[in-house]
Amino acid sequence: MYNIEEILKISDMYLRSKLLLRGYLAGIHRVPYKGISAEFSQYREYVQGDDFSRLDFKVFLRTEKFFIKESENEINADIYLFLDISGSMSYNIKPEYSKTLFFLMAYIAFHQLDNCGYGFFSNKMHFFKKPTRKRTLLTKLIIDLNKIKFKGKTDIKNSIHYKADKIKKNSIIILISDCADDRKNISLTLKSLKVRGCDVILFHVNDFLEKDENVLKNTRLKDIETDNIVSSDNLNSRLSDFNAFTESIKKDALDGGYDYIHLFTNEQPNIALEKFFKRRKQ
Amino acid sequence: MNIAIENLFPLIAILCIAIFLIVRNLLTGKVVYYPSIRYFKGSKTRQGNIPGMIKEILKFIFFIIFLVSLLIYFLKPNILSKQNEYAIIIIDKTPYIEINNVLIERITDSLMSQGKYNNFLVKEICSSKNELLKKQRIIEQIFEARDQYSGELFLISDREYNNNCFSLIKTKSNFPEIMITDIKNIITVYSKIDTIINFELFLHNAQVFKKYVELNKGINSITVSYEGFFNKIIAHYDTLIIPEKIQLQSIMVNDKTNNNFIRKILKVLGYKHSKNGEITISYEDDIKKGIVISQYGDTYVKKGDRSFLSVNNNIPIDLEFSHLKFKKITINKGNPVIMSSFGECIISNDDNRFYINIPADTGLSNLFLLPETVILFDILISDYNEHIYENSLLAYRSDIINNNDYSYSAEYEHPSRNIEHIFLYIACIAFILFTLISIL
Repeated sequence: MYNIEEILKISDMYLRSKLLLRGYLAGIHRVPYKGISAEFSQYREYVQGDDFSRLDFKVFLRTEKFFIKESENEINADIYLFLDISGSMSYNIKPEYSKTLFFLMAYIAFHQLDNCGYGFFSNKMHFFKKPTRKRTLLTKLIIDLNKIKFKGKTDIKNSIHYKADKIKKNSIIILISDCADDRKNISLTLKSLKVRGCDVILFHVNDFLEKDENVLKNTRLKDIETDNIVSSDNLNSRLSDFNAFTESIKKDALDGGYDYIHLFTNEQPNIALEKFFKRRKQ
Repeated sequence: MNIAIENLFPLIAILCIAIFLIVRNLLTGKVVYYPSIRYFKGSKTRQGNIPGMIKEILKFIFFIIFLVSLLIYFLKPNILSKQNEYAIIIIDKTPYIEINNVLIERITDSLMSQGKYNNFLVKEICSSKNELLKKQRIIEQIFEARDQYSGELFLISDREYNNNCFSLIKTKSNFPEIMITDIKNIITVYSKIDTIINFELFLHNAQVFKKYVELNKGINSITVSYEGFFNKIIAHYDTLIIPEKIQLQSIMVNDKTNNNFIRKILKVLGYKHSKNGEITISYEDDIKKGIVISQYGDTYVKKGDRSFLSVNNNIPIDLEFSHLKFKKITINKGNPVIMSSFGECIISNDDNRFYINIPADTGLSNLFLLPETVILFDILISDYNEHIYENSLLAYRSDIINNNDYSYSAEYEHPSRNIEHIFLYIACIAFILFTLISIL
């Protein structure tokens, strides 16, 4: 097992990905797309408006009741990856970590033969690329990732909510952010995507220094994005506030029906992926 | 080494701020950057002093100001300021105002004792080489350009100007407050104040008139019933004594100048005026025998353009002198007879012609008829006759003229104010602000 900080020092994003994804590529994701397929999912009773062609006549002959045979389809999904490039994400190793995670997700999606699109946002959507399966996708992504600068305020609502019309229905949306935004806005935005039938996964990334004793204990904290300063406080109080905030984001995710994965930058991204796939299998 | 306490202010300010910041940091904890302070709602948040963008701009501006001010400080600038650092004393120099060093020292000592000025500057306006009435304009120009002077303007003059342009007009002249200006049957007395004087007239050294006369400020006329030439007139402070050796001549004088000033002199001296007179007084050089008064150039302005009212009767004095033309001295001719101490020829002689370069300042105060001028004319006119005056007398007159030094114009360099310390202050303040913005 490699140390995450050592891995992040590797400039080649491919090499980083291969090191991190060793043994994890077997993971597969399901799409919430019910239809005709070889893989059986369930029976349900016929309701008015259903397609007659999907009636299971064998069951009808046995039970004299109309049943629809549903199957789970494995199709090529549209995956949207969004990376938060606001000023708060520039803290310590967060940028490299989040970029690596971002690339890993794209890498997996590409090798799963899914259509993959991506965007970078802070207070607005700075860059957006429609889902594609072109071979050059990962190369271009590396170029784009090298270009980005982490600055500005976080505004998920303005960045993603107002761009929702460009996102296809029933697609998978993966958002990597430190959630340094109003939690109502985060929740509202992700819920609205969920309503559109999308499968939303929020990767909440925090730097390990954000819970460090030396940083939190009796210091005045200055917000990178706003320059606002919070007066000094003791460590326990600060940790309690921090945990409360992350819990509230998690609770919003549960209420909103979207997936939430909390990561610290001292955790290996492949562990994050493990968490992710575990969650997806549930 | 003496260091002015005010020069230490910036250093003290920087030290105070440094101590304040150190103590503040010790008491409140150091400032650490953090991705987002949204997590800590339990603690009181304080708005950052300045939003990020504005902060960067301000930092840039203050840094530039700091650099520029420091640069200017090292260049040691001398820039005129409007502060009254200097007392600028402007002297309206006329033949009849005696501004000597003692007087200037007295005035400057008086001004400096007020503590409002660091230094003083003396500037003289000379009338002899320029158009005389231009003085009024010069004064106005000085007033208009007063912003160029780093100080307060004071004018020393024996006359009043139309505009009281200056914060203080000091009237100081060598003639007394009461001055006899015309000494024929109607005696004219100029008074600077409203007063009562003891007025005495002497005819052939015998007192023929003594009376208390009430004088108003300005020109006063006193009518006396006696005829003849008064050789002594006492008007309280002023006493006019005409030497007995002046002979009331039978010489016929042709006054081509048509100048009241000359006329009065001739009248006092008793010379008869005739167009066929052998002795001619003229401004032009085209006479055979006589006196040529300073060659003047172009007509500058009519007296009527400037209005001085007689306090007595409110009649504009311009009416009396409106025909006068004020011109510029050009070239002297002949052999010098009387030279000024600065080498300027005052009187020269060329065969039968005397050239006089006495500038007749035609300002109000300088139209007075002075005994010295009367005598000088008498000497010159008599010279054509029998040279009745002794050499010593002429020497004495030349002393009078030389002492007046009216042709001398002193130009002093206008000193500028050193304001480098202002830029040091600005640099320090800019640096302090820059530091504060950077830290907070």
